[in-house]
Amino acid sequence: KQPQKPSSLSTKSAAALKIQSLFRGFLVRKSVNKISSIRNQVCEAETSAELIRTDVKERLRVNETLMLLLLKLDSIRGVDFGVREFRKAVINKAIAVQEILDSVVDESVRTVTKQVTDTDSVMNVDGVVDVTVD
Amino acid sequence: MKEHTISIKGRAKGLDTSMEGKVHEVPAIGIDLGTTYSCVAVSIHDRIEIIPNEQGYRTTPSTVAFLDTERLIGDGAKNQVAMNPANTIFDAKRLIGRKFSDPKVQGNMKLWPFRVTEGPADTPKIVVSYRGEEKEFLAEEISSMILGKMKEIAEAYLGKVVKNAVITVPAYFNDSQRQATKDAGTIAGLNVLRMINEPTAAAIAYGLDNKSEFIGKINVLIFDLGGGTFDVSLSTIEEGGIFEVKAVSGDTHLGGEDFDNRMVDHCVAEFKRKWNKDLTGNQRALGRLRFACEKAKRILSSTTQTSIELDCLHDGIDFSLKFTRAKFEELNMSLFSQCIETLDQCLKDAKVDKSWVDEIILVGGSTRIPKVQHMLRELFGWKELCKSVNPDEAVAFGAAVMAAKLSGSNDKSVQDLLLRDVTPLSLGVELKGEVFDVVIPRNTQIPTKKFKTYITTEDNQYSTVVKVYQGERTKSTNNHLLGKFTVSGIPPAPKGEIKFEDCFEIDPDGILTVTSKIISTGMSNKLTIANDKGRLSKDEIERMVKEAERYKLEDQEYKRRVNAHNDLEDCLYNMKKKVREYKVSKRVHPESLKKIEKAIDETNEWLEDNHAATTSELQRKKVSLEFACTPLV
Repeated sequence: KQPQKPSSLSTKSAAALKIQSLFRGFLVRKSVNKISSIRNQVCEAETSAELIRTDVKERLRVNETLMLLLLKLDSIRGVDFGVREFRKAVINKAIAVQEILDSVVDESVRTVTKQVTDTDSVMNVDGVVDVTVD
Repeated sequence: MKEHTISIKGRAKGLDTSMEGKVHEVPAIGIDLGTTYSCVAVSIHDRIEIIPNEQGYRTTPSTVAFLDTERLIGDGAKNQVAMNPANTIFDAKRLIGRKFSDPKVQGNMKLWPFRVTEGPADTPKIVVSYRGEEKEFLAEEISSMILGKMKEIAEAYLGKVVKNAVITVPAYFNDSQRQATKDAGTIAGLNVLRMINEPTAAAIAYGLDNKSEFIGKINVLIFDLGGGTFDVSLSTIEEGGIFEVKAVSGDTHLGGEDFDNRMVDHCVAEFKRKWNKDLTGNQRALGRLRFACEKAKRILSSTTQTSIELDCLHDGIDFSLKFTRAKFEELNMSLFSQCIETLDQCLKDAKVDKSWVDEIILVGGSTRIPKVQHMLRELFGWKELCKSVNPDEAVAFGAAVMAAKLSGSNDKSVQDLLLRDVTPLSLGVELKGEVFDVVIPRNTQIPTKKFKTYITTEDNQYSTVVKVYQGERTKSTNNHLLGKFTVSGIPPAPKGEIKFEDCFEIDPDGILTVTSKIISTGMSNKLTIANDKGRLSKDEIERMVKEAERYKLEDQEYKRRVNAHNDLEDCLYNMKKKVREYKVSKRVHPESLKKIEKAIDETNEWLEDNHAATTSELQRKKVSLEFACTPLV
């Protein structure tokens, strides 16, 4: 009977180990699946972000989806170092895409203001011409 | 259009006409119009059902968003708030019925991402850009859009047109705020059966749930700590379900969001301490932080510790912070104490001792916070709290009970017996030297009628101005001016000789009428606060009803247009597929196939060039395409 005791102990710990590793694996897989599905969506947003340069509404929509994806990413638990790294990489990517979109907005704003100043100066010239004719 | 005139008539005449407009088959709904979230409930087969929205949520954000092409209400609007903050309107309840110069409005304006400007007669107006142009909205209109959404949710669920509703308001909303909320209901196309106080509604919900336990009179304290507002009320529930509100008190700016803000501030400070970087300029980071904090707050109601983990929050820095329940309580302790102080004040107002309270009802999501429950129990000698009513839904639940009782029974006595409400603030007139003289003290049961006699203050006084105020301060100008009117034609006499009789009357809806009569001549003048200039006139309401209809039509038109667009695309796709098939099978003459292909290409091009095509254009294109493709079918 005596040799059986250590073996039952070892089977107990082995069982515990097995359960824990399986559960951890389950958690990791669950998070990784979620993150990779979000990553795919971020990639989609990225490709569309490169395409849209003029459509303000579309840009707004993409920015919106990215923000939602970010919030979703934030609520995924980082159970494991690897998972956390993966999540971080996707978050980095999403933020980078957002910044691309923002830079597009900045550019368009700048061009618009430039155009406005141009037309202003033209108008001034016209006004001067009118005065001299009178 | 006929329906609108009925609802306007209902407003003008009060309760009596609303009884005429009653439709028996369609149940009346109860709407909890909250600051952050709204909830709608209905009574079906003597059971109250909370109605879920199209997303399946039982509460709907009180948010309206104006995009370039469409208007979003509820979850859709809230989801895009981070990206379109200037055109996403929330907190309309904080503006409704208030003056632009109100210090609370001024204080709030600093926190709102949307613009508020001063309209005529000191009314605040919300400015948004919608369909490429600037539009101004009154808070009533925004609230009406939310009420309209709740109506739609109920209609989708019931499969019938809903007309009648009971709407709840915070207990200490003043008269103009109540009237404005009622107007919002009218604009939304609802016939407002009655406005009831939120705590009263909660008490009704509680009364129904625990009917069997009613053995004699029960004194109840209703503690409502929601997302944006805090209310406390003391009621008596007697056998047979008679509710009597003894006293109300509260704070319009205290709730779950304030707890979130404290947490966010703490995180920002921690970030600054650790990395010496300021987060406040980064709207996206703040948005993520707020979202994480709200989640952490909820978790801390069930566990004692959680952590906030945000990668790349700002400048590529990862942010991680352990949050304990103790820390959360420490950050918000002053807010919690404020609640308890308000509660104490309420007990004092009602002139009752703590031991007077038999039951304590919790309402509002923030009452799940353990510290709040702990402090309440401590104050009331470790009495058990009543949590059997879902705190988020209790108010809408009670409103639906009320709606069912009001619409389901013709018996006038049932309606009278059901509810005795009170005036939330004292009402009175201004005397010489800006002294406020109370005619109806606060917490007086309504409906009520009170008389008070005044005398002239000057010799041969010809006329007098009656200024009606609402509030608790002794200096009249510190209170809320409801309106004023002049009584002239006083017969010449030495001062103090002529007597006036001022009559204050409040109807069951809380609408105040003030009459001033010169006793010797019988001449009188009167003021109904419902028609005050701070309020919306009938014409304005009618205009807004029309506009609301127009917006609704625009929304529908947008949906139709999108559908037509999709239909045309589907048609194109199908035809292309068929052309390909027929090319292989050669069942159609190659000549006509070529013609068809040309038509398809042309339509395709047209669709790409005409993004803003109208529904009829799209439909016409589809018909002509189908006609061109007849050989294929």
